[in-house]
Amino acid sequence: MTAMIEVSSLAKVFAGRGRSPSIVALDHVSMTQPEGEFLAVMGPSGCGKTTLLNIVAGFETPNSGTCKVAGRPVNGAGPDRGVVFQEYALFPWMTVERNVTFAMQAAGKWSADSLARAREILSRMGLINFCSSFPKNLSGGMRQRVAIARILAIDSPVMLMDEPFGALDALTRSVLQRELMLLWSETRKTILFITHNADEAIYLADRVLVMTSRPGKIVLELKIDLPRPRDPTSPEFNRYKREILDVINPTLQSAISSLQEAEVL
Amino acid sequence: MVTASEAETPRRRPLFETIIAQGTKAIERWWFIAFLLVLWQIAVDRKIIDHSFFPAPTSMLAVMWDDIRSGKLAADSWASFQRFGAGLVIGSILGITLGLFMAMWRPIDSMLSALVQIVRAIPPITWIGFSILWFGIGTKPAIFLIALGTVFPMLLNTYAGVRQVDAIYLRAARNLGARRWMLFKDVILAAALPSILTGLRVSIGLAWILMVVGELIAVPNGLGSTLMRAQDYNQVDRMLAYMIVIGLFGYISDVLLMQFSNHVLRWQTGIER
Repeated sequence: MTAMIEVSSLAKVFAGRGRSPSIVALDHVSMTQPEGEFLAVMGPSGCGKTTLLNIVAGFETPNSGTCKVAGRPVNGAGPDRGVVFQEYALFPWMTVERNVTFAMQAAGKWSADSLARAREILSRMGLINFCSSFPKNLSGGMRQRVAIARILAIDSPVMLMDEPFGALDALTRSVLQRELMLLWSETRKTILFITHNADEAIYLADRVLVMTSRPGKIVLELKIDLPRPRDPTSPEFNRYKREILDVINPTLQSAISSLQEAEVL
Repeated sequence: MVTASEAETPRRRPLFETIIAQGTKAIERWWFIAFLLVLWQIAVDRKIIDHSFFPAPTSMLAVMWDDIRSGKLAADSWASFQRFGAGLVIGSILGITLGLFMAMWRPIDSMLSALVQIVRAIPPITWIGFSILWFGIGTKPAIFLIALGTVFPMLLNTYAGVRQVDAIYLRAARNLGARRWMLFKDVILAAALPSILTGLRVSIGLAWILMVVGELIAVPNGLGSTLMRAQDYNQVDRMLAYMIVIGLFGYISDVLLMQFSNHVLRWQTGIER
């Protein structure tokens, strides 16, 4: 399979303002994601995983290193890399249906049968009865369904998801994870999925990259060889989880102790 | 089987229930004003208040009725309304345009912001002299004053609205591929609309005041002009009648604007209608 996303030796430093020190968000991170793969990048908050996604999306530029999508260097944001944001980035002044049709128009994918296509996608996402609702009247789970529908409508070959289910309650989260898994199985899109939740990463992804913070770098690569749908309570699932936590916990411990030291001093 | 959409549609209330609900609302809203009018009438009838000082509601209404029948009130209202409308439209278009340019292009912002703040601090009324000098006597100086007064609230609110557009919407729109016109019309302008409408509300209030001020300077007709002449001839009934008409028009225009806003901004949280 051909590489869809190629990131090599990516570095990003956020300069400190005033007395706050500068932060090395990414320390020469390299990774390759083949076309059609579901890749999860997992790590504690502040490990630079969102920065990685923002660079692939074209929202931020790296200090050094290269980032290519479909063989071309990333230069600005574009509809070939649809983003599902952590916050609800639906346009609150547009109805559910308008949010989807606006996306199609903005992406230059508007044709005679686009409205029917938008309805079809909304129906697929279980939103057909909410076409004329405004986002304020939807629950968090529904809003993220609209956000996913919006990206499906513009048919991005790459889907970038930045902790999309992070703000949802546990039950809604697991429902949406299952739906996303089924959706990916149907469409086989290249999905880059950012999460801080090990269960979510193992449940969804073909491969999990684990990152640690300060400096942000990839410390573990894990291929998940389990048939879908996966059972999060199975021993195999938990073996993967233990492997991830074994890497993350010591770094968390050292982070906590260094914070404590800083406070003592 | 009941689908979600059917379940969400509220059942229509029977007609008499609606009438009673609306009636209760109207009474809650107007009883105090009615009470004051009665009190006032009694006070004048009992000579507690001198009629030539503050006329009774009945005599004021009699004058108002005369002016309605003779067509004078309608003619004055229409003349005033035209000035009000022309000034407001000119002021709003200018204010919104300048506000957009300043909010979106930093060089224009730096170039104009001090100028805007200084001119804004000059009370519009002080321009009366120049407005007569430039436009002569008649309708034009009144329109000029209204436009001058409304341009700043429109400008500042448009500016603030555009500046406060949440970056996440711009990011999302760019990610979807929105460029130039779409980005401007469907995202920036739509997000700034609540603020622009707030500016319009302030402007409408100001425009009414400035319309009357403008008409106090030798215009042949209009609510303010008639009011001024009633003052000259000490027609207290007519003075009060026209003051109240001006107040009512201001009130009605605000109610209409709020209804329009609530409809256009029905997507906003906190507006449940």
